[in-house]
Amino acid sequence: MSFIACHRTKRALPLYVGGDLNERRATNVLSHLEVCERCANEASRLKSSVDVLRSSPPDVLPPEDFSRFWTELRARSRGLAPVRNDGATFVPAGAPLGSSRRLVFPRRLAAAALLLVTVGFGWTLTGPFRGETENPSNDSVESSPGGTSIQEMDAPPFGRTGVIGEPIFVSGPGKDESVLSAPYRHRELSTPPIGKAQYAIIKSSPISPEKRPDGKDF
Amino acid sequence: MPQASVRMIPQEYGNRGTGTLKKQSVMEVPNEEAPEELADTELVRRCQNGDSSLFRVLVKRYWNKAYSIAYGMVGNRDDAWDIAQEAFLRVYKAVDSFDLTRAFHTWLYRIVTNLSIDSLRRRSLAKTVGLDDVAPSLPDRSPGANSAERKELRLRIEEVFTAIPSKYRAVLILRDVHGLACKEIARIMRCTHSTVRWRLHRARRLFRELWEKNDKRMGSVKS
Ligand SMILES: [Zn+2]
Repeated sequence: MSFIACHRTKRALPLYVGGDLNERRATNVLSHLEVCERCANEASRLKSSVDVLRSSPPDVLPPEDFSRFWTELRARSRGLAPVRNDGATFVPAGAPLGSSRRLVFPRRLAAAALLLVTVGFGWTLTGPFRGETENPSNDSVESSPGGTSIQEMDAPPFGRTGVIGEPIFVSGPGKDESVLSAPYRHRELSTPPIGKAQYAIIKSSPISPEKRPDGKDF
Repeated sequence: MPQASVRMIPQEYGNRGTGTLKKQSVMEVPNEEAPEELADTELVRRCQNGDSSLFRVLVKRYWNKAYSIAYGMVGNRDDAWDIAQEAFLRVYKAVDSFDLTRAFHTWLYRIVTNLSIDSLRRRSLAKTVGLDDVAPSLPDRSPGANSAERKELRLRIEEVFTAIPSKYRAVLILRDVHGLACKEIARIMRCTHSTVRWRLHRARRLFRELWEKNDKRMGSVKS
């Protein structure tokens, strides 16, 4: 058996055993394996290790854990989601598709009522000026039936805020790290579409050490 | 407005027996379809249009997959849970910027994979990697998890994985454990198709080598 044929086959084996070669190349490998015991032995060792991974079912959680997952996610979104308490940053929910739009008015009304109560209370305790300049505290609104968190913190630089599953609040565009992984559809954002970004990286970077020396596809 | 948002779906109207099918935009017929039946893109589109209650359907559809990929990567159930949570938070935060012509799951898995790699990096920076640290923190509660053989296999795979660099580990998990296509993995990992194939090539060789070493060690321990 020629050294070159063995070498070529061995290089193709890791993809061959996983069924990741095209038909023509797979046929070439197979015809070599039929006549070369050493390569066939190598192939069977590789295949058994790939089978270990493929036969081992992934670790999953029981379906009943979903409600805990969802509850925790909502609770976390509360911490993540400071929203402005001025109506101007609120984006109404577009087309009336879901139930959330219908919930908007009572929630805002409740928030406004609480604002009035808080301001009034502050005024009676500490005088008119302090009451006018302070925003309602988070706690006072947290206790509203809807549970929408309204804090006096600044809105985050970008993205949807608000408790998950509840009416949405959107702040202006920016460059939040966590959002950069999203494939953008907004032109005004500075991150170009994936294709262009990749192209720029490929063009500007030196040859990847992971490329085969001959530059061919594996 | 992206084209996907004007997806036309046939809606059947109560024509009292005529059975006529009319085409109408979903915009005009709210909530006719059960949310669980909707495609990912449609769910995302409706979330973008303000019906964020549908986000729950997306989470329910993918929470376990996100957890499972993260667990494969980090080998720790608490961390995998946190990564899955964080991934959905990021998706929620950025859902308005999502391009509806792309696949939702690819985006989600990319976030999960990146968070997992970050988590591994932090762990290795802190120099706390040791088998005790990556041992499962919670019991395995997957169906059929109680079999002793399976437990042993899991532990061995996790042990071998700790010695495989994260980018190779990621392709093994996405391709061989979760069965995703190489082209899809390329989109998830934001690299070229041939890079994925090269990583897969190296990863399978590395896994084989480490697995056989582990096999020998287990054999010598048993005998
Ligand atoms: Zn040979």
